[in-house]
Amino acid sequence: MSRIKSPSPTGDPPPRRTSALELVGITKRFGDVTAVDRISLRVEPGEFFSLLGPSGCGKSTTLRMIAGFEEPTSGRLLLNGQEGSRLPPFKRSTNLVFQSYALFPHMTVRDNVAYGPRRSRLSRNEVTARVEEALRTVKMWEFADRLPRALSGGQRQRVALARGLVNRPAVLLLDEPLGALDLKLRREMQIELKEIQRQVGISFVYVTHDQEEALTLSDRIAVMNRGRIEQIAPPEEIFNRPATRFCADFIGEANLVPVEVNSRSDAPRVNVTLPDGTRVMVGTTSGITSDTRRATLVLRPSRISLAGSAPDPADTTTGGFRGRVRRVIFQGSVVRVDLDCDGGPHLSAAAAGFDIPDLEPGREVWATWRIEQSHLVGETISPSDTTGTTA
Amino acid sequence: MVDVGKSLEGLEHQPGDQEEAVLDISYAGRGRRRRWIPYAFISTPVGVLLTFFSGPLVLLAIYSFQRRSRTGDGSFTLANYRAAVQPNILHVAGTTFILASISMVILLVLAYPLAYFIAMKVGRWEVPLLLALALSDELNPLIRIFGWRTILARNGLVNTVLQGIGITHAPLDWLLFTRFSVVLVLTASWMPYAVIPLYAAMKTIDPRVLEASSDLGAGWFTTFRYVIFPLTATGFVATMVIVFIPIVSDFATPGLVGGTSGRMLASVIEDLFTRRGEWGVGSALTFLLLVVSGLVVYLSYRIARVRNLDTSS
Repeated sequence: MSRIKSPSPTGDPPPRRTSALELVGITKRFGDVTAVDRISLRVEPGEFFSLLGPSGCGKSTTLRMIAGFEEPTSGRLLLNGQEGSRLPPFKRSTNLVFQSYALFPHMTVRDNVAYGPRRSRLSRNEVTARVEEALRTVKMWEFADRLPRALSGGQRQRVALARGLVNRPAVLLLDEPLGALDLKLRREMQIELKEIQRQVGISFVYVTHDQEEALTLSDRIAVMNRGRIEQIAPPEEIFNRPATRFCADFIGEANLVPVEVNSRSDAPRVNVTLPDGTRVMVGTTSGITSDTRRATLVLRPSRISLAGSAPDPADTTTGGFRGRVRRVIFQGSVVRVDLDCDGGPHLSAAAAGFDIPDLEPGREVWATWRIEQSHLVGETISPSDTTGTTA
Repeated sequence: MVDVGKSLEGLEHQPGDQEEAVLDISYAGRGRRRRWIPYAFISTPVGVLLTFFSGPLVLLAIYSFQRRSRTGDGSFTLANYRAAVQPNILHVAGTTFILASISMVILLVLAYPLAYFIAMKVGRWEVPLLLALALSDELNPLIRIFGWRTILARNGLVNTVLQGIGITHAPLDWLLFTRFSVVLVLTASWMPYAVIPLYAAMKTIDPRVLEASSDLGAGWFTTFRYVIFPLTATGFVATMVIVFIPIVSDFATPGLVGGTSGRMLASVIEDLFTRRGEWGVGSALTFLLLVVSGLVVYLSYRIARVRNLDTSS
């Protein structure tokens, strides 16, 4: 996983500083359906913040509430510290980049971008200067006199971005802006988007269902599921120490192994029993209390090694499973090996290569991992866990 | 024939393509044989139009240049056209265009928001509302106009209610048989014809584009001025054309609710034909009206095309 990231803020933003955007206990109901359920978050000035979740998780509704197209049923929304949940969209210091771009089809690129500045009290020269600056930022200056229909999807996307940036909003909201682009173009635009964001220093709130995109771009990510926030953290933390089973499963590939929690004697490390009866230490934990008996061990396929023999029982830094190879899949840059392990669980290991001879279905191998790269999450996900991560 | 030539030319260089060349020839032949079919399909409607629409028009054209109506003689004259542009008729023409224009403006001012709400805001009521609009037009126009007479008359619904709740103490006389009643009834009668083309134009607008306008700082009027109106301009022109011409040529409405002050050109024409027997002058006036209306249509389309208004994205 390669990614570009600016010096990352910690999970908890420092207090006493006015956030660009703050949501406090925001709820949105449509009839009987609760689309967004008591979510709270803060976005700092200049931060690239992503709302990540599967479709229908409430992330787009959240974005539309921030933009002003939906009114929250309850909760507070602060823009630069000012209450803003009742302001209409045209009075908010936010701008939205639509998934479908929503460019004005009858206006040239220049007029599209100038639309916002012309609504403010800027002089004509100032408007012209800003439009040029914004179009140069997204490398669309040469296309200023084209109509949107004469542009490709990627170019329209850039114009939509310029049309938002040109107003220098407190927060720029982006609703899956790269969703309509093909994979190669999307990768290029991700990198460029991050560059542009760093260059202009405007806070971005970026909605996506693509976990790789969120990991690549974000300073912090809020993982949403069923209208709730499951975790807010920087990408590495989300990936390495998911707060919930959902986060572990949704972000990246994960082997989820049901385990029994034995004790918390060797704090902060926890000792668990694997399905085959062996006891092993885990590296980090989320949502484990002294009452937790059942939990889920999270093992990333990329962190699993295969060995021909059992790990040394005296070596407490390594955990391991005995299993048989079910299949070996060549995936280009990685080889993926699926295993049926003792006690029932299926594991996947992925690496550029495994130095084991005769790696083929039926062969007995040991799947091993370094203790500090294993993570334990509470098996059950209760509402209190969810709100606990947002506080 | 060109296809055949090309194929033969190809044959010299690529003998293997023989079969293809034969196919080309047969397709070309079939294409030629079938070319009359579309014309056959449209021949019937064109025939009906020529017989029942253009035919009478030609007759009217002939009448308008003949002396027949007064003296029974069929020789050429321009007297009918001179009679058609007399001051008293020009005065009615002026009234007609003023009343039609006022009705048009009111129609458009009301139809725009109505079309907007039906297209964008009413959700599941969209189809029922459209049906209601269409139904309101299905009603026989005479019955509808008489309905208005019972509402606007001296002892009609409006006056009764106004006096009943004490807003007025004597019946309002200007409600019926005035220019007011003509404009009111014309506006109400032609509303479906104004709303439906505008609705169709609105439907082509991506609602996100309107949200984008709002998001970029535009209030409703700015959004209308710079986004909705330009994107519905073709619908706007269509509405003008569809509504203006029937309003100008409507004779039932001014005849039944117009009284003397609300007289319009079409009533004069009707009068010339049915009561005064002046077919020559009536025909001349009809043609003048047709020319002016045609000019309005032409100008509308010119304006629409010059601006190259395209609502597709």
